[in-house]
Amino acid sequence: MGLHGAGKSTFIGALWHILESKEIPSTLMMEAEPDNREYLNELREAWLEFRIPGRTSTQLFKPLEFQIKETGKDEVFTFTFPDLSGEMYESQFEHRKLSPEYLKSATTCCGILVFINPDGVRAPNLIVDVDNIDKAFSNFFGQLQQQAEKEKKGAPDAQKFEETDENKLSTLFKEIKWQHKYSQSQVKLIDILQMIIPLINKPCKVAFIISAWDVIIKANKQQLRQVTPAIWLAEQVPLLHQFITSNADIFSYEVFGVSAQGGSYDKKAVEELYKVNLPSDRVVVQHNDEVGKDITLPIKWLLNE
Amino acid sequence: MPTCNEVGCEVVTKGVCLNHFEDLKSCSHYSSEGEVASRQEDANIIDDENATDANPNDGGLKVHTGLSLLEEEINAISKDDYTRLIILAGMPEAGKTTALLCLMHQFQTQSNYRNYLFAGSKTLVDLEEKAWPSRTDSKNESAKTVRTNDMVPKFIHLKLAKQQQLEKKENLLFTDVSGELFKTLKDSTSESKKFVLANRADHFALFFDAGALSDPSQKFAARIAGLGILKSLTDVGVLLPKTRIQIVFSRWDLFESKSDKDRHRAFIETIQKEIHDKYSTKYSLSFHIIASRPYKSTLPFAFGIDELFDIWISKSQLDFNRELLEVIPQEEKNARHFLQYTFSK
Repeated sequence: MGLHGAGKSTFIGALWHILESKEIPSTLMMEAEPDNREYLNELREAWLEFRIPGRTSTQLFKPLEFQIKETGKDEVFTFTFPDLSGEMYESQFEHRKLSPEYLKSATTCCGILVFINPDGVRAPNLIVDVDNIDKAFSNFFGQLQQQAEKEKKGAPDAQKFEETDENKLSTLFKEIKWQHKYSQSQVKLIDILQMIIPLINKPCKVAFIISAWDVIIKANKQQLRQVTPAIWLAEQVPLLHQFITSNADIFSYEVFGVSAQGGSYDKKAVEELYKVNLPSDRVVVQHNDEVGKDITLPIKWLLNE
Repeated sequence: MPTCNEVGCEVVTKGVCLNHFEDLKSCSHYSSEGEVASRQEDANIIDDENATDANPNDGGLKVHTGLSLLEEEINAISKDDYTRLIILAGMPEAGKTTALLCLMHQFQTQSNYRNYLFAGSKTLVDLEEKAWPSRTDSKNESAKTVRTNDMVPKFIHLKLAKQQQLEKKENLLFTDVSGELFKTLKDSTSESKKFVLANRADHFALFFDAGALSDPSQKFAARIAGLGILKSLTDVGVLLPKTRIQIVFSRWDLFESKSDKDRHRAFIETIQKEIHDKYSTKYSLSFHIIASRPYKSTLPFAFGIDELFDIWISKSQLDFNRELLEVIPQEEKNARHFLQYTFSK
């Protein structure tokens, strides 16, 4: 589960590679290769080649499914991605309808992966907050100007900054009418979880995957305070955090920070990624304070009682 | 939902049988059928939606709309958890919806609000749409709240859980009604008599625009209008003594920006005194000043909302009267109709 751009495709590409190649030791394994592996291999290829999977692929809109099991155990689990594009979830929020296929998945699932991309989080930033900043800046520059005029000794060409209609930034933009897609990310995720509450077996395990986690780790290095995935969820999407916490009878959850890419694919940054010995060495997974490379960790948590 | 036909028995609300039966099934007045019917009704809600709204060939499922709820939709919400009804009343543009959006914003941006956690809402889409014009993404030049146009009472829903008692959820239902409706109620006895949902209100928050009250060209009309709403509803008896009344002087940042504040404050105090003198013997009254979304003001965002919320979440009609008598039509014995509670005298 996850909105558009949440990192699902990249995660799947990396996961598929690691499960199929057995590059790193893992207790999770493929039960059998999926019959139709074309799209899985397409995602894997994109990941191996350090590129974002093409968004135009119609495969994005088709459900993806494969069977996995834990080593030494008989039980087989079906890992399902109903819609990698995220459009299905946007559509659920807008059109308020669940497809028959999704209904079936929801009523039989034993766990959910919810992907959130920190870069894609739409927050409720208020105009009044900007107005207050504007006011503070106006006061500050007003004081500077007064100071400058006191010290000025007749410079006839000195110009004052005045907020006129011409330089008022807000006049450059037309008011945008609301559409469902402009809703806050945390609100959409809460609502699509609420939709399945009557359907799921309770309590249902939810693994939140904060994608592009390498960015947060980098920021952590520059700060005294270390942000774990759980702290990130509580601070950046507080409404969602409250919702999942207060409904402990319905959901049990953990939060994982995952960077399947390992870093940015920008021209300069990707050079660092080329240096890895194994593709799986790029992966970063954090759970609480522990940082590792096992991309199957969230799934293992979902499967274990 | 269990029911008990014994007048004065509190088993439904407090779990204590008036006849001291430990095994409630032994009591002839008690019925737990409501529980079964309730779950069946919940299942039927999904099934009915399937049958009536889904394309039979499609097999999909329509879920809650996310929009404000109609009266018939709030029964399902009130089944599972304790539910309080708060009527936000006042003339158009008095700040009713803005106060509600401001409250929601507090939950959206903090780890908790007043030791409560957000536990869900059936009306998230409406809340997002209403809040949009006040957000930077809308590219509006200034923060706005679109005027509510609905004359038919609808409700915004919030489900909350106390931080120290997460298993106990509470619903807050806020009326989502146009100020034009209250203008109509102020002007018509017959219309006021029809506003029976006020019978069930735990709180009646009457908003006075402090900006208008401190504007010489508007203040007298604003005073008369607000007092008129209160008079109309109390005169016809739809506002019961069990409903707590909050008199809210909203948009206080506009008051603060005026010169000659002492004169304006004195005028507002006469309104307070008039309301107190006329209604305090019959109703529980409190007076509040708020500035939900202060504009270029020294007042903080959500000024005064804390106090209002604390009252809304902690007080209810049940505080006044321990004897809850649920009036259920005989043919709907196992149904529960949130707005049809009455209370013994």
